[in-house]
Amino acid sequence: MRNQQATRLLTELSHVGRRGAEFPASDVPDWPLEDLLPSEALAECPPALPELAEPDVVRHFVNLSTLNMSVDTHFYPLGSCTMKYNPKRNERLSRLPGIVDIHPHQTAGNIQGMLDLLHEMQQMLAEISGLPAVSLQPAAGAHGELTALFVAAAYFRDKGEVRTKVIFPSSAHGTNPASAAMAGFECVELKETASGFVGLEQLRRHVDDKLAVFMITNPNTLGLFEKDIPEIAKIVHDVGGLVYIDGANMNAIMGIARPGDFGGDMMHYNVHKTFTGPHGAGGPGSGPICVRDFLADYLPGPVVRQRDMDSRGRRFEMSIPAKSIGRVSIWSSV
Amino acid sequence: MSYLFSTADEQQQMLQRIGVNSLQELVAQIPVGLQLNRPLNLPPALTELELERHLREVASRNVGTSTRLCFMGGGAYDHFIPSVVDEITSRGEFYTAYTPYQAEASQGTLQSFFEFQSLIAELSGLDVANSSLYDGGSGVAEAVLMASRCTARVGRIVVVGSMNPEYVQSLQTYLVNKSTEVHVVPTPTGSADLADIEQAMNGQTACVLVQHPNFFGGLEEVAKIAELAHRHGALLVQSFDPLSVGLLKRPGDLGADIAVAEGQSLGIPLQFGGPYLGILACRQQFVRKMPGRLIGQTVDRNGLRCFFLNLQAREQHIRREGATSNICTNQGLMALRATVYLSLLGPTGLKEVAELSCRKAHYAADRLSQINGCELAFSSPFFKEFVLKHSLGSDVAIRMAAAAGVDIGPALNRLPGMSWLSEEDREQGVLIAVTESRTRDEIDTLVAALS
Repeated sequence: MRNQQATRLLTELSHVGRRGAEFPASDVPDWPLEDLLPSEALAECPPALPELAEPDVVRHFVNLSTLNMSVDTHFYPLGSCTMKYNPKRNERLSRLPGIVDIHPHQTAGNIQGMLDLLHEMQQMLAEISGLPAVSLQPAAGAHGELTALFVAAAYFRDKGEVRTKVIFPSSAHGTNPASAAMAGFECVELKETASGFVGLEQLRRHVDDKLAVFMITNPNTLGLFEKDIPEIAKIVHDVGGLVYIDGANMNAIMGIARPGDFGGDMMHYNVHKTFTGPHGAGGPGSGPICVRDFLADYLPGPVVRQRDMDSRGRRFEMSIPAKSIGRVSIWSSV
Repeated sequence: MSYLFSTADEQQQMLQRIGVNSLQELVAQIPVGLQLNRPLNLPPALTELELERHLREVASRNVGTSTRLCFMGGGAYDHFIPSVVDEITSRGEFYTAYTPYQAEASQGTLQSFFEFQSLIAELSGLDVANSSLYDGGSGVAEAVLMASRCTARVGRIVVVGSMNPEYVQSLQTYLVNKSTEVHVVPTPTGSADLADIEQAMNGQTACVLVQHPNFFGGLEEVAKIAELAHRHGALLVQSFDPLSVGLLKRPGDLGADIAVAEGQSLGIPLQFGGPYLGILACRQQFVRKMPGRLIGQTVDRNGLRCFFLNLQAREQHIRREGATSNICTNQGLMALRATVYLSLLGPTGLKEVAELSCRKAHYAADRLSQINGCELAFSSPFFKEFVLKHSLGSDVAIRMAAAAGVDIGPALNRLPGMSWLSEEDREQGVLIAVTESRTRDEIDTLVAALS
């Protein structure tokens, strides 16, 4: 039963004087605003937002929601994005007081529960990937790719090596070359073989000591497991490059094979694909990265570390990696 | 079975249908030598009941705003969130929907994001907004990359030092492999000195980046800084507080070319730092250089209004290494929260929230600065937060407040960069923010705690 009136634009539903949210009257002194703020900073009037009452807003968005396909309404067999069922416990439990209402600048002593949870997540992601050092900062898969490329750039700079190239197969998700370009690298695309795989001979022709990272999705975007991945990794490692595994399809191989075991040096997860996080109609996502030990120092900070319990009962701390690239998103201060 | 639904029977049927004898056979395409061949070393699966018990225990070891009075600021705030926001964004048709690449299956999403963009354009006083970036910090970085594209200058970015130091840090991280110089102009008095900014500019400066209200809560002379930037052929990028425009002039009215913001204040809970909401808006002339998704309005073949993804040729899935950004998944559901929040507030509500926050912050500052040993770090006018200096040090002040069940912060000595801060400001300074959610009694409790 679709209500086409309610799905007109908010500006069309607006009625002067209507309000949805009200606030208690001020209980502090009624000083003139001109005494508090310089008049040249003050606007003459607030922005011209639409004016609606609460039922207007509710009807508008409830009706709009019925115009969507979603996992809750349909089987959604989309490749790579892995539209799995989103368990409702996720929603309810992530809203628990003591989880949903923590300020990002809270100090470590006040958030031992949260740090414990994040530390455990780091460990689980490390175990599943076979790559021990984890950053939970990236806000999406593409953000994870970008972060890992920054880590690689810092690593090579530290070694005094000038490496300018990132190679990827033409079947790569668009974010791979976009991330490489955004991270300041030159992009080299390899045409895949007739059967859809990365060609070893082609790869050998393109690698040299300017190669920073080879990015590959495995299983690849055609759904096929790149069997030659150990050889691919060897070719890349032989010239001193790093192998990046785009983990979009981790759902297919979790518990069966691990990127760290088949030659990957860095990878990202898409938590909203592999681990039942909802897609939210385009986010929020989460793209944690896992890297080899020798890259751990370059990860963005803070990361969560465990140590012996101190006198105040604190076991978890936030620490900045020794040669950290800095930060890629807001997540508390140390 | 909330994660794996098919019964053994159903699995057998499926396997038989595709001519395979076991699941193991499907895995055989992975060379045996690459297979893990052991169970993952993970804790056992929990039922929902056990999971709840576990998470409640975890939650009990955290301090949240439900048990303490929050006067913390620095980019994230304890603003009131009306019930309708959770109600709408809990609908499965919204939160389990996919990215709206397929317009005919996503009109609910697309119209909501079109409305988000429209509201943000109105809030920022600019022509066009995208449908979100990750957060305020990465938004700053994206705006800078965009400014470089718009001006064809990659040499230098001038940053007014009163910007959120974590945003500055994010920007520096984004430029770690580029030769663009990030030139931070110190603001030891708490806000910008125009002469210092002018001196920092050169012919290769792509933009001047300023936060207003700034990280310390204070106001900046954005119009003058914009004029200065434009005179040197650079763009003005302003990071702003989306609630502040209930009272203050908007970025577009002050001369900003690109406005970015952290949208957490628009109906998003604190959540220990995320997911939050990156906001970006700009003048029409720059639209093709924008990062992120842009929703447009059009008509279908029956002449009915509908919505679609516009200017996709800028994006990674089309343009790949030539894209304006690598961003794919953004913060859709958070943008929806902001849209619902703003719909409920309207212009009157927005003004009310801004005014209440401002008045209460000034009441708090007035009373706190009268405490022996306490003073405001900076004398410039401020919006809803300020830096309080405590002669015993910020760590002591934080502990005194905590003992009374009150949280203040962040302390300036916990933040990166800002090397130009005086020793005293750094060791004694702590941010205090007051929103419409705080009562006079609660403010008085804070004052008593620090006395």
